[in-house]
Amino acid sequence: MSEHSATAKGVQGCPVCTQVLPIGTPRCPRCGTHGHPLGPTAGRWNPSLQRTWAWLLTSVLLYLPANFLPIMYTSKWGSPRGSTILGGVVKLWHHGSYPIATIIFVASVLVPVGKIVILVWLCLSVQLRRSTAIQRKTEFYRLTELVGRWSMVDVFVVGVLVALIQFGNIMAIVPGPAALAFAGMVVTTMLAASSFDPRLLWVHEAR
Amino acid sequence: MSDDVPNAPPTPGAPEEPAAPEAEVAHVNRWSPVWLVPLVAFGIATWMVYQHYVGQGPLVEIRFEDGGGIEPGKTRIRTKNVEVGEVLSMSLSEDAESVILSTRIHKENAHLLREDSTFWIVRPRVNALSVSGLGTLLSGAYIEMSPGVADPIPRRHFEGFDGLDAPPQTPIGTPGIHLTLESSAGKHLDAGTPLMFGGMEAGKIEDVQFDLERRRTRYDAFIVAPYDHLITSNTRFWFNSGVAVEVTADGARLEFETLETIAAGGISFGVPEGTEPGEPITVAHTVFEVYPHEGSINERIYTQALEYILLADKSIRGLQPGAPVEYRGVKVGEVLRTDIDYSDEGVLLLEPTARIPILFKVEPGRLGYADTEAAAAVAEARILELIRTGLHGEIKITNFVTGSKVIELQHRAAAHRRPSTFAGYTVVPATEGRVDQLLVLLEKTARKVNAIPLDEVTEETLLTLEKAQATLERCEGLATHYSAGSEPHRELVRSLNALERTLAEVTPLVRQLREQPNAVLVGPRGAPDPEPTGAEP
Repeated sequence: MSEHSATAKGVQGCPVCTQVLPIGTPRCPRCGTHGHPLGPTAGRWNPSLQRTWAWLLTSVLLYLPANFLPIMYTSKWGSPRGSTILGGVVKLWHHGSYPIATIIFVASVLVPVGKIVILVWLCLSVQLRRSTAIQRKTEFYRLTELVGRWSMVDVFVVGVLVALIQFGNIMAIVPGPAALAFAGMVVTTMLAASSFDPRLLWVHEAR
Repeated sequence: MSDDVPNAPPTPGAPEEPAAPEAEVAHVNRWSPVWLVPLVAFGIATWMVYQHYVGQGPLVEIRFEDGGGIEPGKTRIRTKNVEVGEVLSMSLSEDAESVILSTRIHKENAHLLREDSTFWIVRPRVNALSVSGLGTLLSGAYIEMSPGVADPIPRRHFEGFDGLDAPPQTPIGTPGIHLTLESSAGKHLDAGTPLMFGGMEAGKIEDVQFDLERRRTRYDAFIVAPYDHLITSNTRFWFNSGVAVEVTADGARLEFETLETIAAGGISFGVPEGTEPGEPITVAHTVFEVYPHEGSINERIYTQALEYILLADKSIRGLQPGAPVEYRGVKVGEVLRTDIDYSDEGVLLLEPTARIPILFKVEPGRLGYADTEAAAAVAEARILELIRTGLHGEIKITNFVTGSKVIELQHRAAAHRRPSTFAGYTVVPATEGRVDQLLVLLEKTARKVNAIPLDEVTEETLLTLEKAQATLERCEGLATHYSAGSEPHRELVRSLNALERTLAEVTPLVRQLREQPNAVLVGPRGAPDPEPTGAEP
């Protein structure tokens, strides 16, 4: 199979205009697309990989305040009280709302963390030139891309609550700083996923 | 990963032929500009953490007996109703004896926190003196902080503040003077009881303790400025009774003080009548004695006293401790005890020869001697001499209604006698056998006085007067028949006027007789005991 691959022939396709180019061409001479140069030299600090790493790091940085700062302030009788994501999950669980607690936990903890872990795993395997279970890695990558657009559930819930519950002094919900951080985290993980070039996984398949 | 060796650029003398016709040398951007994003994110995060840390005020741990009404995250710390901090968390101490509140003082108020800052929980409080903290019924309890006066200490973490159970009676730094008042009266006064001067509240009792060793009550008092200038060496303190009842021959008088005083009592202070204020007191916690009532402060206090025994062969009923010992009506001392232990002297009651010992004191200061030990020794020798030459003591009745008695010292020509002693005290010989005779005589008189039907007499007099009034009116009617201006008419008018004047003069007497039939016999109550004023204590 390897002798039939484009890499083995020393060529690659432009990701935009599909022009066949020699491996290592940084810029497509036809459409001017930058990036995604493959080839034997590509891999370690490929621009795609670099971008993925950068976005991943940003999302990890954003994930910390998203969890430690309050995502929303519930003020009852004029005294505001902040609640974090995990605090809310624990509270819901204690109150017996297991389905909602599960949904929130999956949407705001499991999915983002899973995405970050999968992307780190993929990046590392490219970085370290591991070529095992490429098929599965590709599937995981597709899953990451698929799930990305559903990660905003938490932010969405906060947005709806803030819009609905505004009774002045009696009760009001105000978004907290974590909502912004969480939204930023979701955006950066999506950017990380989209900047990852799954073809990199196959570069070293030949060996 | 950062130490990863960058890819070597394609070597010019590569063995393979380039597939593309043109040899394009492109500069490979090693570092993606996307790296700026996590860098900026990291920068912002660092800045936020730094801001958060710098913007935080000091953490303060306060220990309270009870954490009722405190809600972590909700309860605020206030000074003069301005929020200065909040309670972060609440936990039990290790021995579960107290509650430890972890609080954060806002940065801008951190300078208010000092070593002597005090904290207390403001809750609704109701006692006899005041109602406070009602506002917290709705808003919930909060913690009040009194900053204190010590230098602020720039620390980020404070421990070991002990919260007060109740608001301090006096905020730290209030100008004034702390005093210690002592009393054997055993009156309980609550902390917060006012100290009055001339009807003005001049201070408060801050704490009440009982000295177990000396069996005395000790009150910690605070006099606020400017009243602290009134505390001088001659200042006396006394308990306010709240209600004063005075019964005299003129009738009864009931006096009430303020409701506050009636409810909670109180202590007043002042300088005894006719005394100089003395030196101002500036030393904190100077000890003062609290007198039982206002009247007692006016009594001059003598330090020297000579104690004597009087052996009574008759009833001593009515002779109370504190009864005056008089010489020709002038108080020279007072009865100390009538219940001294006489078993050692072989005195047995019910024996015909039994005599009741009465312990009394004579104060040399009252006799005109100086109130010093040397003068007292001189006085003692002189009194011993007088006893030899016939100084006697006699128990006399002063009030026939209550039967109260005094000891009257008097000279009586007697044979030169040796002074005896009883239970270690010199005995002043008693005048014998006169008390009862006088009493019997007076009792007889009193019975006779009682027998006089004064009420009837008064009523009869009144009747007579009414009749006289009626007669007068009739006469007046008759007089109108006389021709005005005639001699008999004028005579009659004069007589009538004279009669009316007489009636007007008699009326008060009759009224008094009706109110108090014995007013003719018993005069108004006498003035207090006269005392010699020459001797200075």
